Amino acid sequence: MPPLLEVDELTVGFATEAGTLVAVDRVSFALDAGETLGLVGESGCGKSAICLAALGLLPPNGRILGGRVLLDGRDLVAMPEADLDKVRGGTAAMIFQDPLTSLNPVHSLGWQIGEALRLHRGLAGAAADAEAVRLLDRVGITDPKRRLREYPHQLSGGMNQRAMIAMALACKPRLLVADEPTTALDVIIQAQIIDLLVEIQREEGLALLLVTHDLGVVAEMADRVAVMYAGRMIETATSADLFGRHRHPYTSGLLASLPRVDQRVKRLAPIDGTVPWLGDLPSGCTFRPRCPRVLASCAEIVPVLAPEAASHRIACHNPVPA
Amino acid sequence: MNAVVELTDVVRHFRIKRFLAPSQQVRAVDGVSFAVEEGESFGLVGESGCGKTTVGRLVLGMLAPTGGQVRVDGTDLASLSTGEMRKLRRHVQMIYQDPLNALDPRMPIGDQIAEGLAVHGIGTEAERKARALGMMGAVGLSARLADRYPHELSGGQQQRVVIARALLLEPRLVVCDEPVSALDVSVQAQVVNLLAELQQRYGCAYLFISHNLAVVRHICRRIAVMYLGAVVEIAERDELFERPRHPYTRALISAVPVPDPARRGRRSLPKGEPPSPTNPPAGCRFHPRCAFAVERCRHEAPKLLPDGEGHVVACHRVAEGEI
Repeated sequence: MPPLLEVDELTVGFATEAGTLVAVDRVSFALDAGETLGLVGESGCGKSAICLAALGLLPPNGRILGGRVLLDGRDLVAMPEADLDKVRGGTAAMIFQDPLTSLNPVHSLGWQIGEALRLHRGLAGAAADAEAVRLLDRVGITDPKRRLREYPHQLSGGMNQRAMIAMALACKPRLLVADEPTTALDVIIQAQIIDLLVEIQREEGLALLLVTHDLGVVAEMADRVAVMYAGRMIETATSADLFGRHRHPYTSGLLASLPRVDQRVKRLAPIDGTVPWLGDLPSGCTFRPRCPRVLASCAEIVPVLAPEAASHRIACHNPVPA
Repeated sequence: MNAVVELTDVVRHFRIKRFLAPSQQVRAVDGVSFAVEEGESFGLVGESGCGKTTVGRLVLGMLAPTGGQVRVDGTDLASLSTGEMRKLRRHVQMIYQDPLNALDPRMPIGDQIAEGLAVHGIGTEAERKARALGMMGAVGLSARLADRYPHELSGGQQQRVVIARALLLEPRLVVCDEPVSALDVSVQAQVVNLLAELQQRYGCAYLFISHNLAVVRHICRRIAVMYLGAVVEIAERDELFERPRHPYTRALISAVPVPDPARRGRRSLPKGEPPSPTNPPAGCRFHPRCAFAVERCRHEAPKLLPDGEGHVVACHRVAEGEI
């Protein structure tokens, strides 16, 4: 059986004053039902652009320059906008970092959840209200009947994020794309939302594409992890392998620069330098100028994701020994 | 040891005025006491709205307390005239979360770093320039950046400028409010290491305010945990993180996601969300969410008491030896 979501050689560019910048460079991955894939990386690595491109939500200056995004075997890149409207909020739903800017401030929660039910499931009136109450209850909002008539500004950030999740679940999606879903939240609320997402994902058998910069959140939620750097995927493995037996020098560097709450780290080992600007990427491997394991060939040949073990792949000429 | 800054029962209330409804009082800081010793890095942690940033502003003298005392080097800030306050500022500097907001967009960074010396009338212009360049080297900024403007630098470099500017005056205390929260992981580690090195070199104390418990564990020697305007626990770092006593501290630490899939889901989370500081619960403020709450917690506010094992904890159940 083909995977639910298959991203194949996806390339995304943004038109800027400095010309077209390639934010996502030939990225491929697959995601099955019931599985969580964590896309991680620092600002500008292209992780959010992948999600936006996959669901046809790129801003006006963004364009898909190549590749395919197959959802259930249908190519979303080639799909007309009208069909895409049925997919978004239907088969595929998305939640974002900041619920307050994603929710509509002038409509009640009931109206906003009802909109999805009306458009995608043909529910209206009392039936829509009843279903909205069930959804709010499902995501742990107490007193859902009263909340239905409330507006986003009346709720806390955590409550709004729960409402966003309820809205995303309204049409029984099979794919949920979550872009930094807990980043704006305080740590205890973040943990509550992580638990809720994990529980829902398991119960509904959702395919969850989780985008985050927080390696802790990924370790909590993802079955598999893909690490991005400057638009390219540089390592992908199961969570256990990525955190336990990472091979790419960038992945190692990221983990070594993390202070830990569960243990005392003597000295953080930061990665030298900064992420390159997309308009002026180094030749060959883009991590080369910051890499402690750099070889002469790294400047000439772009490393591609090579199959190592079946599930653990790295794009590096001189990986950390296993 | 001498305290650089000492807070005694500090209270700070804010009034929210409304057009139709009666005005409300926010009890942002409600009876906070602690002291930061010379050369120490002291952490202040808690969730949004717990009052940690307000404490930082009280220590800087940017806000006057509604009650209680803030003493810097033994002097009550409330007793100082504007001129005396300005002199004191040399010894108490600040580093904020967003460096771009803290820097002047129209002034080359070399001038911004040296400006503090001029304000306090220190040295000749040539001396000030030399010291600014020396400090740029100490924070890892190349001297050729001195004529650049803030927007020409990366976020990490901008934060280094802010740090250089704060430390050039050789302050006794630096209030760092979320100094690395806006930075990406790899750059965050560079700045954290830099802050630690500079403290060793210049011997200043840090009041390090952050919601990021991992960073605080790494950089601070002692840590205070705040909840709804009050301190609930103070302890040395390893004590606090390995043997948290207060139920809120336990919840907070267990909620932090750890980059290790083998440790997944080991949490004991309190229900719900913190109540509004306009109307904090009576008794212990944490009691409505606390799994250990008993009748006494509902009407009697617990005092911060030493537990005999190096922690100071505000919890009846801990004081009674029940947890």
